[in-house]
Amino acid sequence: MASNFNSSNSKSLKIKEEIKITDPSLALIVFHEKKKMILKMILEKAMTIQDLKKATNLNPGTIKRHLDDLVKNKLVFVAKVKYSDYNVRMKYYRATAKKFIINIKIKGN
Amino acid sequence: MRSRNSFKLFTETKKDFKNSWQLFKENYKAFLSTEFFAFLSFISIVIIMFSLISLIYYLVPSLSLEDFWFNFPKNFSISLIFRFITIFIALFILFAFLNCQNGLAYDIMSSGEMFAEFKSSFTYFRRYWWQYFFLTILILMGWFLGMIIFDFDHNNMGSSQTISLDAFQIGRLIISFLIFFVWFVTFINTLPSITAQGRLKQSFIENFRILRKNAKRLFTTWGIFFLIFIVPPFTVSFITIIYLPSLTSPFLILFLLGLFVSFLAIIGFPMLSLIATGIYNNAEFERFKPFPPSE
Repeated sequence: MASNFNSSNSKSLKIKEEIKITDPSLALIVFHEKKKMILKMILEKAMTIQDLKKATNLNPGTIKRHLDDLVKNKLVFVAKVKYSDYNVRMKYYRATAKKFIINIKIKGN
Repeated sequence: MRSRNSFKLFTETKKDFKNSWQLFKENYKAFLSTEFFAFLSFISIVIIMFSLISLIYYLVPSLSLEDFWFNFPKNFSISLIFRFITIFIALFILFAFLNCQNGLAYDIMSSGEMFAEFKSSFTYFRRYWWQYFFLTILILMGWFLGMIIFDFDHNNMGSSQTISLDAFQIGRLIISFLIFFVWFVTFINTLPSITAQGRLKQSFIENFRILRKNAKRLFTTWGIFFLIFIVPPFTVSFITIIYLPSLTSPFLILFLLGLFVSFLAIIGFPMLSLIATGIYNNAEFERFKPFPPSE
């Protein structure tokens, strides 16, 4: 596609250095094989679904569904929206933190 | 200055084709699935209707097969209902579904995800089924207008006799085709417009706004589209009608006809939707719905 972008609508959400996950259900999401693969790709940089498709070889529909789940659980957000020189809208996804730490405590009786 | 304007025009047309082709390559599965479903539905409806007619024929012995098809003046109402219902419903589904590709093109270019799924076609079918059908009939009316100019019946095109065309007839044929082309370009922007903003009346207003401000680009881009996708099957089908009865070996011409029609169906229709949506998104005109769409 085009290499010259017209930037628009950059989200100004601050990316945290690390997020500690203590909720087991959230940990399950992160440990999901495909979600983990996608999350790893967007820890350091924002990517579109097409970029993720090339990097992971997953179907775009599959990537979209996993991203929606990650966005719903606030692990990923839409970092920016750009337009190519042919006005094709491109959403860039990024992880909400550069590092995720799973910290689950199992208490005894 | 003139050459600079021409250069800019061809640059825009080149962008239309280049970007549309790129997007088609990345999303061909969704487009071809939609087309396959549309044609399959068309064939299924025709088969179902013929089966129903056969059942009626069996249950009502007083009716004969001729009553449904051949004795049109004698059994006007039965024949008309049969033809109308069968062909109308089948074409309705075909045209509506084929135009759901405009919805796929919209998803690819405007949703931000840069891809489309086959199941989205059903969403757009639910939203715009009758609008897509109506607009397709409107656009195809250009073809019928052209045929009236060419005086199709009078030229005995339906006859099985060999017909030779003189320069005058060929000239009329070219004019008929040009009329269809101009009509097509005049109304093609209604399809991406209705998909983007949802209202039929506004789609006509936006269509004419695009045409007024971008006429050169539209005629250039669609002119090249016609040369690539429409002219070959049109030319071969015309040659087939004229010369087929006299040919000893018609297989080459039939092969070419099948090839060009397949090319139009498999690549032409999706490219049509993508180019129309691309032009809609890039053209300068006063829109009803702001572009780019907000988050």
